[in-house]
Amino acid sequence: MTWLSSLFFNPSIALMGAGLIAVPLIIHLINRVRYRRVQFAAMEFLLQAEQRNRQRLLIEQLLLLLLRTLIVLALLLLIARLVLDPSQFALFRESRTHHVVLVDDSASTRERRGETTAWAEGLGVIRKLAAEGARRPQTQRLTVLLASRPDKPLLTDRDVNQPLVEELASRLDPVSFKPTHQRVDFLKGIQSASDLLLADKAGVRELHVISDYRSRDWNDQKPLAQAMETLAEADVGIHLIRTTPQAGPNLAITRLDGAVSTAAAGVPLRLTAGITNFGTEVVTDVRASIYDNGVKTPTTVIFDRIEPGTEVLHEVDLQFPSPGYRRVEIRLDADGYPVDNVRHLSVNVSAAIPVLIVDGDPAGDAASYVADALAADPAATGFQTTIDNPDILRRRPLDDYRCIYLLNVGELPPDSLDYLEKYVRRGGALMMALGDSVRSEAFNRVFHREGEGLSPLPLGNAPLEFVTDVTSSEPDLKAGKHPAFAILQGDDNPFLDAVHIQKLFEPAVGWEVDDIVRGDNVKTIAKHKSGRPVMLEKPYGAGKVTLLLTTAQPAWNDWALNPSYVVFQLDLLKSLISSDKNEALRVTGEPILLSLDPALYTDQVELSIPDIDGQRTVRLQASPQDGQTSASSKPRGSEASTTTRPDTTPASPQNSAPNQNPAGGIRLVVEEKETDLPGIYSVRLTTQNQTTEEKLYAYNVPLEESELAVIPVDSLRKTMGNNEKLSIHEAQDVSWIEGEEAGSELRTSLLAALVILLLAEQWLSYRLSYHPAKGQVAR
Amino acid sequence: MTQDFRRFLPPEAVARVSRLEILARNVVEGFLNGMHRSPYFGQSVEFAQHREYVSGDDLRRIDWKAWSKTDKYYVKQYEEETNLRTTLVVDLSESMQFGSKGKTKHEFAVQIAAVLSLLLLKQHDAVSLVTFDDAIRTQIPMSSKKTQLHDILMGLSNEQPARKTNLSDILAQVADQESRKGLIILVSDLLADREGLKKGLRLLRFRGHDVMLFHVLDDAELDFEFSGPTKFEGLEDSGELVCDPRSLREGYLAAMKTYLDDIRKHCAKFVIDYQIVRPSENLDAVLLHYMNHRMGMHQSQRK
Repeated sequence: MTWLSSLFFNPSIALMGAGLIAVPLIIHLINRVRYRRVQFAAMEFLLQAEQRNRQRLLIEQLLLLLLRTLIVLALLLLIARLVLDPSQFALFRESRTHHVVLVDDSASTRERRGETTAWAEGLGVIRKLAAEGARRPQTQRLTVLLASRPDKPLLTDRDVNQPLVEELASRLDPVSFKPTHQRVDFLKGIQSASDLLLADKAGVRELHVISDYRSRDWNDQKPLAQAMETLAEADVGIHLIRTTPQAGPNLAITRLDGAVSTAAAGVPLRLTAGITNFGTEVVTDVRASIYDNGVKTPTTVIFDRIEPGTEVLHEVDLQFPSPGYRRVEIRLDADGYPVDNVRHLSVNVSAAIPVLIVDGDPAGDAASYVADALAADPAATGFQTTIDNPDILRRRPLDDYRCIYLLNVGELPPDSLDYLEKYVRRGGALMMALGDSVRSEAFNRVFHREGEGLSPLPLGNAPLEFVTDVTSSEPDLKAGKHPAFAILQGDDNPFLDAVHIQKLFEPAVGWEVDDIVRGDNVKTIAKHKSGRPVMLEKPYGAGKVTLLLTTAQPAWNDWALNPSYVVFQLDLLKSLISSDKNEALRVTGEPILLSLDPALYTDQVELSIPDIDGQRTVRLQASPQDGQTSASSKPRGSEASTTTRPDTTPASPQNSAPNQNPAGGIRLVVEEKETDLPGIYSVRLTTQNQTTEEKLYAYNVPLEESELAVIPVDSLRKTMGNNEKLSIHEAQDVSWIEGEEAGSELRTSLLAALVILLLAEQWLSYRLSYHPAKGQVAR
Repeated sequence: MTQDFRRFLPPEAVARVSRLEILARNVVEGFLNGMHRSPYFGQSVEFAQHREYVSGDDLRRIDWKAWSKTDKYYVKQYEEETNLRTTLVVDLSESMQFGSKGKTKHEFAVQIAAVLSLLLLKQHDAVSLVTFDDAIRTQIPMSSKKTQLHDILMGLSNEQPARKTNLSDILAQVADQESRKGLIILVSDLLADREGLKKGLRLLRFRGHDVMLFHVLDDAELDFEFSGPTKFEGLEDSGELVCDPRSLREGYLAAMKTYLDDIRKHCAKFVIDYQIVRPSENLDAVLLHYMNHRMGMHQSQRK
């Protein structure tokens, strides 16, 4: 039986059918014994014929017998499915087999093609696998992993039998069982599957990777190929099952952002909307609607023409009349892949944006120039400036301000410096400008500290003075690529060319001017025509510091007298602020991790999260942080008892921490992992004063999931290597599950041989038998 | 024992066959005026020629009109019409017992003999009967009496096929017994010694007899449409054979054709009417066809 199993797909049929080969011979022998008797008169002629044809008849009879035996043999081989190459055997053999299915549940599997989706096709393959396996009970085991959370199998090492098939029929119904809106890590999934398979030493092992095989995930993925190779070397059969033959056209909203951190009531907020055409044909007249708190605004963004593979951006101004959180959406008409036809944005509209301007020279006018630039009319810019001396840094909580200007401050007391550094490290924005009060030695000691301080560079000994050369047409200020200069750049805008710089601190001797060579993340955003840096930007913790090596007021330069100064200051401030607290833009699956100061907040956290039917409320209880590891929240209330998604991104301690005064000690942490649905997530905290604070997070489908291009089979095979254990299948073609492919090349040959044998047998039978012509009689 | 003669004389066959006349191919001897030429006009004569009167001639036959014109005595000579003397020779050997479609060759041969007897007797021809196998079994003497039909039918019904065929001796005996020229009708399957058959036929012709040969062969013998494993048991101890008849059919038909061609050629050579008849065919159709053929031959000879 063993050798039969190695040769036949249906060894039992082969065994039972072996006897059939003798059937023609038996029939022949029976016919020799069982005959009818006829008394015949004209024996003379019959005997003559028999004598003349005896030898020929014998040969023909033997040939006919041989042909009939071969026909039975060929039929038997076809039915029993002769397979010369045992590696072609179908999945379900008589031996024990462990099937591990890794199914892609990323957002792109939601792409609809006709009446089905890649996800539904994938579930269909699993059900088909189970149904086929159930035909050989007690031999097949099944484990199903979701690629989004491979550490939590959907099914673990279950015997494949009829009850399981029935269970899967209800559990894997694509109507109720939906894929995620996230991007998945296939390498992680395959490694989890690999761990399961390699630990299972008994029997045959098969890995089925069911995915839509988007190019972005599979093209040229060497780690994946290596993982597959490792499995193949361990004699694991690998089946890559493609659930989508090719990508359909897809228009995706790939961008909706702007300087939302500077959004102020009554001040127009400029947002950038971008639509990318992921299809292969030009799309024209695309209209996107904008919704504010669920209400459609009169604004419609029209994209006249979008070339394939390109993103077209449009800017749109929104104005919010009152402060508070706004839920902004931009929507396209739904296509075959609707999850990227809407994009969410939460905007925290302030009544005014507080900006602190600290002037180190009480007699100076630098602060007034800056304040005038930022908030000559607070209603127009949305900024509210406060001018004070450096002492304010130790008197007021700095987190009250969205940005701090430090003008002509050469030195700070340690406590003020500490507050300032913590402010910036937590995401605050700091703009520094120099002046006569600045002494390089003290500045470097306080603000640079060998690169550990706030200053992007150490200052040289004394400011360098330039003589204005009226004959030169070369502008003194050369702006680099930076959002602060976005409007001012270009040939049509000559304002910056009119700026003259007379005095400028230069870097300390030995400080490398070239950003790339220096490689310390400090970026030079404006230079003097002599090549010396004029303005630099340095990331500091979660915040950012911008240093102007000249004065903010028209003392060492005439910039403040130039019209470009106001534009520059406003855009610089927006870029500084947007880089810090604009973290509310997230991708689905990213957990919400809150770290609360128990002195300020109770442990009650209420989340309003998107649901298929709208919003639903989840109440969580924060728990004390256990060392450096964060404990998951314990959901309270029925709403929170839903399945949680795995934490795919490491939680940042600063992430959305509302407490601005971390003083160490015990903190309350709470984590919400169920952030799969795109939309606006609202977190409501209760303060110890029993007031509530709300924060919104906009979750959108990862942009990568909009790239629906499917990797061609050839490329996939090339990426995965020419591995004999690896096979690629289409979801619609389930013949490989039924083993119909095994021995298919032999089947064709056998069929051809059978046809030839049948024809030969018919010809010989016809030749040996009697077929009178119609109406013909012998006379 | 009551004999049911009607099984040998199907009424419809008698009705159709009796409308025809059978004509002898040659003039044969007879002593009764037949109905040929003027069957229902009594002493009918047909003028042939004048001959000078010689002594002893019947004075009544002198043609006085010729005397008045020529002054010589002429007597009229008439073409004399006589009865047909027919001998029915029927084969009753064991091989005649074979039949595949409900009727054996023997039954069919007897029917042919009976119908022909009736027909000939109704024309006042003399008929005799000889049945044989390896020897003559029944012999009804030549007669044209009305009771002859009964005697012939009795003779036909007396014997059942049982023995071998010996045509050579039988035909020689028939030839010896029939000293006067007549019609010999042989009804047989001719499954016997071929040379003896030829010799006997030749002898009959040499004796001046007109010979008609009804070669009775069954459909199965002519077409050999057997199928499936079959054991053929030869009648008249001709052997046996187990075979797939379909595979041998070609050879069998070839052998049969050779044999029939040989017989046919022999009959043509000695001016013997030869006809293969099948028991599956209608008897009247067979005879009608045959008699039309005979009439055509006779008329062509008269002209």
